[in-house]
Amino acid sequence: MPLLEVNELKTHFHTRNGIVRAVDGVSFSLEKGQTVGIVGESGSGKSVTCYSMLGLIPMPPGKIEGGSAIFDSINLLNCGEKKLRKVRGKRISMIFQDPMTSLNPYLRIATQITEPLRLHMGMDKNRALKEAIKALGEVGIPEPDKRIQMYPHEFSGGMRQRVMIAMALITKPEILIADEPTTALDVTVQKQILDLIKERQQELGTAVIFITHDLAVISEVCDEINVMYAGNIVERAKADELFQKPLHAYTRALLKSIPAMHAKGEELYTIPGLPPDVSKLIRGCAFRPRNELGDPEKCLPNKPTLKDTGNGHWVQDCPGCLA
Amino acid sequence: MNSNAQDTASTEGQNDYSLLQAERGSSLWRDAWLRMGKNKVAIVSLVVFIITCLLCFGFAWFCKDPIQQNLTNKFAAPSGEHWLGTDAMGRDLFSRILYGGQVSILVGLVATFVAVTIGVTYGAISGFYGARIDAIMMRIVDTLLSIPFLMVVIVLQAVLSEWSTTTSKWIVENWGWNKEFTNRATNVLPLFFALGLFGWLTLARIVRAQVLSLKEREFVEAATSLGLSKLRVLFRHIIPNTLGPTVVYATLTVPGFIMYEATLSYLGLGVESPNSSWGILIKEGANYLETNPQLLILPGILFSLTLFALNFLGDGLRDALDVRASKD
Repeated sequence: MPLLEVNELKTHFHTRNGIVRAVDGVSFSLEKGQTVGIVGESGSGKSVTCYSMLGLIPMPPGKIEGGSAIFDSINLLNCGEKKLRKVRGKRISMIFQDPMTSLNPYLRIATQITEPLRLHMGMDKNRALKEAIKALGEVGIPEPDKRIQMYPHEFSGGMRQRVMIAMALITKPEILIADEPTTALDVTVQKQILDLIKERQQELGTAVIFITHDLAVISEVCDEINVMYAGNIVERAKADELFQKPLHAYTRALLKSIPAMHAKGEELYTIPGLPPDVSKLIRGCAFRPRNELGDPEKCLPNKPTLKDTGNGHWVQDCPGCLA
Repeated sequence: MNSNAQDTASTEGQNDYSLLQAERGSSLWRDAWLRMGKNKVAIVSLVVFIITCLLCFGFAWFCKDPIQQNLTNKFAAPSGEHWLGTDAMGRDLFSRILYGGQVSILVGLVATFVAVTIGVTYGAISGFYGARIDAIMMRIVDTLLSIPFLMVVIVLQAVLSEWSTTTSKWIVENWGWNKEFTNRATNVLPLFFALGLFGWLTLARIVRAQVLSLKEREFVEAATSLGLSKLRVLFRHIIPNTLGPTVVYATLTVPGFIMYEATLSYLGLGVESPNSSWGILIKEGANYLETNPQLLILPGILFSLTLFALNFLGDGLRDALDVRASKD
């Protein structure tokens, strides 16, 4: 049985401008210790998928319309706030995109990092502090015993992300959700942070859901990759397979637009058009208007479904996009 | 901390946290404090206010009884016996000013404390829960703000002054408290109550607005994702972030409340003679403006000085806590 099984998750936002179908029937599963990536453009529903599982969607306007997310026989989507709180931060933790804003500027690092320990493990102040210092050392913060008494503004961006990672992993969670953890960092620091996440993951046996729009990052860390478009998963495959044999037109377009794939001086490839407005009901294949590499004429007039092409490679069954 | 101790801290520091305490980072509060240190006006104001407090709450106990009358020694000139002379009833003016300061400053501080406690809690809950709760809570504030303050205080005072005499009698009879002290306490209590009742409204609005924007911040989401309960997120992560504006506003309300006390006492609605307060002293002094102006001027000087000091202190705090304005 997989560690986490998300089935037909639908999260909609009921706004004044209509229903925004941010996530519209997403299914995937996660095994123990595995790293699953979710890639897609901004607004494709990557983050909302994960936020929904942890109940971090502001409701209203957000509403989980259906589906299930089974973790250790608990359905995270309807188990109630109290039960969910016991999972959050203890068994499933999260790292956020911008380390500059995800730490409370008024509290010492010590206060913030010991919070999950005291809350979930019932540790007293001194023991929690000891654990926290150890955890900071493990994520490569020099002189953790001194740094822990400082405030977030005395840390650099990379250091803060290290603190966030230490904080997220301090309770040895079974799942870590990393929501674009390297987007706000510069490239050299990105590499360090990715290595750190991988290293800590291997030590603790944590499964990771890695959300990003950076294909270079995802190829580096993930075992399996889900490509999301307009609230749906359009393709899922093992990392190597996806990079070598992309099937869906969108995946191919994404890979084609990686600058490193081009010869020097050649014009860079961009996908034409914009992601569709998910507040309007999309009939048929959502990628049709931008489908340049496939055959838009053959795109399905009703919503395509995900089908297995063998070897764990799933793709939306739309002849136009597969062409 | 010398370098030796530092070495010990880093080598065996894992066990000994008392050593680490010296190596604490610099909080936003400390930064603000350092910034304020450069603001001379604010520091002078702080010193003036502290000296006034020390005089009123410390030195006053060694002075003469402020309500001891001596009708044979009215309007005495300053002397070794009476440092600032005596008033129309032959009471020592110096000690009346200091004891008056006790009441005035206490009214300012206690009313502010009440206002801050209610205002922050109310505003934070309103902003945090939002939607319908917010709408209802804010309409209540609007309603209360639309009631003329002075009128309510007059009515309250009328109702409560009777209550205060009976309570004071009851306390003296049943708990055996000092009669004079009890009288004085119950006399000003309605005033605290009335001021506190209305003082929190603006603050609640300020805090609510702060919380509305703070709750969308990422660290709040991060805290929630750590499994903290809503109330814990509110009290541990959101409210501390609202304290900057709150402190500034509170410092600027203290002189406001002192002023209100003076106004009400001057109108005969606050503290009652023979009890002393700066408002009372100004009221009494005004009667002898032509013959003995010092009775009005001397308490007036300390009164104005305190108000000035508190206002400058508030301005200094505002500049110090507003990081954007003072970063360059």
